[in-house]
Amino acid sequence: MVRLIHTADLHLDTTFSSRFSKEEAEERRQGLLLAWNKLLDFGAEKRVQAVLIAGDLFDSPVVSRSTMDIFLSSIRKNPEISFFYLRGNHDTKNTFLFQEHLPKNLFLFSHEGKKYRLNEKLVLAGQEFYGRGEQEEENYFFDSEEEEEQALEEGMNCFPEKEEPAQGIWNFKEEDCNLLMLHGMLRESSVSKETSEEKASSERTPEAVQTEDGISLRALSKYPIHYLALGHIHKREEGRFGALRYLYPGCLQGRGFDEEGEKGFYYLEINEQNKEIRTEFVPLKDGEFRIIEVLLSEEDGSLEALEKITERIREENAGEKDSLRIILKGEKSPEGERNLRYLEKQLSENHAYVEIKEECRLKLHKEDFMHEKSLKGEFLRMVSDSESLSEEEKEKIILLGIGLLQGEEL
Amino acid sequence: MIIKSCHIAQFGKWKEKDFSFSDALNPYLWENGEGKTTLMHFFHIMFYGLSGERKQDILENERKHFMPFQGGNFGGNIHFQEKGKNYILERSFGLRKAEDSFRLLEEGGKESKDYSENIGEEIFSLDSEAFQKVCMISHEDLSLRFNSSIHAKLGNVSDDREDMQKFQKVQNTLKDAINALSPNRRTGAIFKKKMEEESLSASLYRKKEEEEAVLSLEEEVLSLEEQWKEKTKEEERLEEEVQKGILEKEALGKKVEYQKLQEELEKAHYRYENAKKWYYQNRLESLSEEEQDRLWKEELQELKSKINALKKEAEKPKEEASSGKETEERERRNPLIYILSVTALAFLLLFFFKISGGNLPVPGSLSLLIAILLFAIAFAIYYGERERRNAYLGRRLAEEEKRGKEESLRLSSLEELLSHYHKVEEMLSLEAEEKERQEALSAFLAQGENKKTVENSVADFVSLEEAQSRLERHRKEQELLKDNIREKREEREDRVEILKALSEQERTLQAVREERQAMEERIHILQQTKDYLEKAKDAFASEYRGPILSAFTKYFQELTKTKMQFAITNDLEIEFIEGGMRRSLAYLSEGLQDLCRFAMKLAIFDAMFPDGKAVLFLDDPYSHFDDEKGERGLALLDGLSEKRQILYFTCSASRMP
Repeated sequence: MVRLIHTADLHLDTTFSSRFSKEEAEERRQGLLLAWNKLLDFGAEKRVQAVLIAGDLFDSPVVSRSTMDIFLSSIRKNPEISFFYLRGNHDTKNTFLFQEHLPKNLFLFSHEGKKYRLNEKLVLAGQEFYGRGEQEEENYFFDSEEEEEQALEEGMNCFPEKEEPAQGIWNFKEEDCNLLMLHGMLRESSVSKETSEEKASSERTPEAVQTEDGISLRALSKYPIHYLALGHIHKREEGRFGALRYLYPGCLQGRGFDEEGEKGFYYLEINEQNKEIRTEFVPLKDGEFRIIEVLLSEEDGSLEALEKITERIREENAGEKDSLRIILKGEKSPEGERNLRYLEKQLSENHAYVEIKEECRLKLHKEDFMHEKSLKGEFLRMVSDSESLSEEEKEKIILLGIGLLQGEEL
Repeated sequence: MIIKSCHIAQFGKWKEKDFSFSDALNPYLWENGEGKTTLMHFFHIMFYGLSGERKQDILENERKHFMPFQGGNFGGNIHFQEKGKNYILERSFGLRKAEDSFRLLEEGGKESKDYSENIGEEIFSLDSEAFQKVCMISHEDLSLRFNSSIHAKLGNVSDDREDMQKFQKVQNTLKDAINALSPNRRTGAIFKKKMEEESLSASLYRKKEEEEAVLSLEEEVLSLEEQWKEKTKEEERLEEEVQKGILEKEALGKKVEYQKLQEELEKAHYRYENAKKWYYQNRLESLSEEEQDRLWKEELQELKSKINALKKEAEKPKEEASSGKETEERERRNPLIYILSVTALAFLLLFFFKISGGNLPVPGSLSLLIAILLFAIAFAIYYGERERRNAYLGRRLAEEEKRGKEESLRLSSLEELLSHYHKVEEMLSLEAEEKERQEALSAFLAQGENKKTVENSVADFVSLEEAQSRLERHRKEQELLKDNIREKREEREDRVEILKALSEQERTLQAVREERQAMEERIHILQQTKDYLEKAKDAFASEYRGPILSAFTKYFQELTKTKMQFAITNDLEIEFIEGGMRRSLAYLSEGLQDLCRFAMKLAIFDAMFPDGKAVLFLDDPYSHFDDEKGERGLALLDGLSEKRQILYFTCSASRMP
C-alpha cells in the first residue's frame, strides 16, 4: 500500500486582485504558504511517501527568494517524503534550475519525459508540455551519478528507487501500476461527452498525447495507465475515460471569486498489487471565497436586508476567514435605495472580506405612472419604453432621475 | 371629482369639525390663523398620506408637523364623488407609519377596492407635490417676493416657491456632475484617472522588461555556473600540474642529492684506492680485491706491534733516568744537615736567650760555641755532599749523552715506522669513509621513492613556477567569476524587488482602471438621465404648451381686460410680445407679474384637468391685486366654478365673492 498526495495549481506568490489592499494581498500570499504547510502536516500525519504537484506551483516565472526559500525548506524538513514536480504553463525552465542546493527529495520532470520506479510494482511518469526554454538538463540537482547513488544509499530518497531511462516514457508495463502526471486541459472529458466527430477523427489519425489543443484521453487510453494526475483546472474534477481514471485536484486555495467554493487536495491510497486506487478529497477550510445569494423583497430596507444576509451567511456556514460576495436578488423600490456601503462595513466585522452586489430588479408598476401628468410620469414612461437602453441602465436612470426630482442629493 | 363633505377628527387646530361643500364655488371668509392652510393640508394628506417621513425638520416632516401637541392620532374622513360614484375616504395617522390606517368605503359603508392608498395619484394623476402645486394656489405662490421668476417649469409645474426651478436645478446638478467626471476636461475625474492610468501603464512597460531582465539574469547565472564548473575542473588539472611540478622539483632535489652522494662515494673510493696503490705499490696488481682490503690491515697490525716494541725500548732509559733522579732527590734530602742546623739554631736561640737575661744552666758562650760548631759540621757535610753530587752528575751526564745518541738512533727508525703507520692508519679512515659514503648512498636509495625517482628520467619537464603562476591566475579568474555570479544573483534579487513593486503598481493600475470604468459608466448614466429628463420635459412641455398659453392669455385678458400678445417658451415660460419682440414678464410691473402668476396657475390647472374634474383650492389669491383686478378676479371665480369645484379662502370681506 502506497500513500500519496496529489495537488496542483498552488500559484504561490500570486499578486492578487486590486480589490484587496496591499496588506491584505500580502496576507493572502502568506495564506497560500500556510495552506501548503497544512498539506505537509497532513502528509506527515498520514505518513505519505510522496507528494505529486501537477504544475503551476508558482504564479509567475519570477519567484521571490523568500517564497522559494520557504518552499524548499519545507521540502527539506520532510526528508521522508519524496516530492515530484511537473512544470505547468506558469513555470519556466529556470523555476528550480536557478536555485542553489535543491533538496535531494525533490524530483523533476522534463519535456522528453521521465519515469520513476517507486517500488517494484509502482511507476510514476510525467511529461512536461510547458516551461519555456530550449535546453533540458537530465539531472537538475545531482552533479554526478556517484552523487545520486550516494543519496540513494543514504536513504534520502527512499522513494523512488531509481529513475528509469529517459528514452520514451511510454513503454509502460502491463504488470506495473502506472501513474502519469500531466498539466493542461482535456480535449475530451469522458467517453460520454466525446463527440462522434472527435472519435472518428482520432481513429483516423494517430494522436499525440498533448498538443496545443489539450490532452487527449483517447490517446492515453492506449497505454496501461491507472491514474492520470492532472493540473491546470482550478476546480476539482474527476472522471473516467474507459478504464483510464483522471483527476484534477483543483487549486489548493481560492484566490478570487472566480475560484469560489471548497478547495483542497487529494489523498491517495494505492494498492499496487491489484492496482486499486482509493481517493479522498481533503478540504482546506480556512479562507474560502464564497458567493451567497440573498433574496429580498421590495419593502426590505437596509436593516431588513442586513438581517436576511446574516441569516443566509449562517445557513451557508461561512467562516470568519472566508471572503464573501453577497448578491442581492429580488426586488427594490425606486424610492428606497439600500445603503450597500453600510451593509459591507457591518458584515466586514465578522469576515475577512465582504462585497455586496445589487442585482435586485427595480419594481416599477407601469400602471402607476402611465397616466401621470407630470414630468416624472413622462420621464418614467420614456425611459421604460426606450429600446436603446438595457434593463440595468433603465433601472439606474430611473432611480437617479426620480431621486433627483424628489430633491435627493446626487 | 367632487368633495362633498369632510369630517376632521383631529388635525392641526381642527378637532371634530365637519364641513360640507357645494359642487361649485365654496367661499370662506376666515381670519388669519383660522385654519385655511390647515384645511388645505388636510385634504392633501387625506388623498396622499404624509410625506417627508425620513426628514427630521418639522417643516418637512409632515407627521411631526401635524401631530397634535397632546399626542394621539389625527385624521378624519372625506366624502367625495368620482365618476358618478360616492366614496368615503377614511384616514388616521399615528405616531409612526405602522399605526396609520386607510379605508375606502362606498356610500353604503361597504369596503371599496376601487382605489388604493395612493388614491390621490390614482384620481388626480398627479403625485403629491404636483397636486399641491397645481390644485392649491396660495397668495404666497403668486408674490414676487417669494418667487424669482414666473416659470412653469415642469418639474415645478407649479412650484415657484423654490429659488431655482427644480427641473433646472436637477439638470444643473447633472450637468455639474457630468462636468466633474468629464473625460475631456482637464479637471474632469475621468480625465485625471486616464492620466493616472496612462502614467501607471507607462511605468508598467518596465514590468515586462524587468521580468525579461530577471529571466535573462537567471540564464546568465546558469551560464556562469557552467563556466564555474569548467573552471573547477581546470583548477583541478592545474593543481595536478603544480603537484607534478613539486614532485619533479623534489625529484630533482633527490637526484642532485644522489649525485652528490655518489660523487662523494666516488671520491672516497678514489682516495682509498689511491691509498691502496700507494701502499701496495707493485704488489697491487697481483692482489685480489679481497686481499687488497685485507692485507694492509694485517700488515698494519704488524707495524703496530713493531712500533710498540720500539716504544718500549725507548721508554727504558727514561725509567733509569727517572730512578737516578729519584736517588738524587733522595741524597739531596740528607737529614743530618737539617738536624745539625736545627740543633745549632736551638743553641743559638739559647745564647740569645741567655744574653737577653734568661736563666740557663749553661753559659751563653757555650751555647754560642755549640751552635757555631754544629753549623760548621752541617756545612762541612753539605759541602762534601755537594762535591760528591757534582761528580756523580758529571758521570751521569756523560752516560746520558751516550744513551741519547743511542736513542736518537732508535727514535728515527721509530719515527719512520710511525709515519708509515700513520699513513697506513689513514687508510682505515679512508676505508671507513668509503664505507660511510656507500651506506649513506644506500640509505638514501632505500628511503621512500628515492630509488625510483633517481632511476626515472624526466619525460615532460613542468616548470613548477610556471604551473603555480597559471594556477594563481586561474584562481583569480575563478574569484572574479564567483564575484560575478554573486553580483548577478544579488542583482536578480534586486530586480525581483522592483518587480514586486511593479506588481503592486499593476494592482493599483487595475484598481484605477476599474474606478475609471465605473466613472465612465456613471457618466453615461448621468448623461442618459439628463437627456431623458430633457426629452421628458420637452414632450411634456409640447403637450401642454398650447393649452397653457391659450388659457393664460384668456385669464390674463379676463383679469386685466387688456389684450396683449403672449408667447410661451419650451420651458413653459410666458413672454409677452411688444414691438415684435418677445420680452420676459419680468419687465411688467410687480402687480401685473402677480396677476400673470395667477393666470399661469389657472392655465396649468386647466391644462392638467381639461375636463375640470379636480378640486381647486384658492388661498386668498387676490390679496396683492388692486381693487379693479380683484373684482375681475372674483368675477373670474364665478366662471371658473361653473366647471369645477373651488374652495376659496380669504381673510378680507372685500375679497369675498
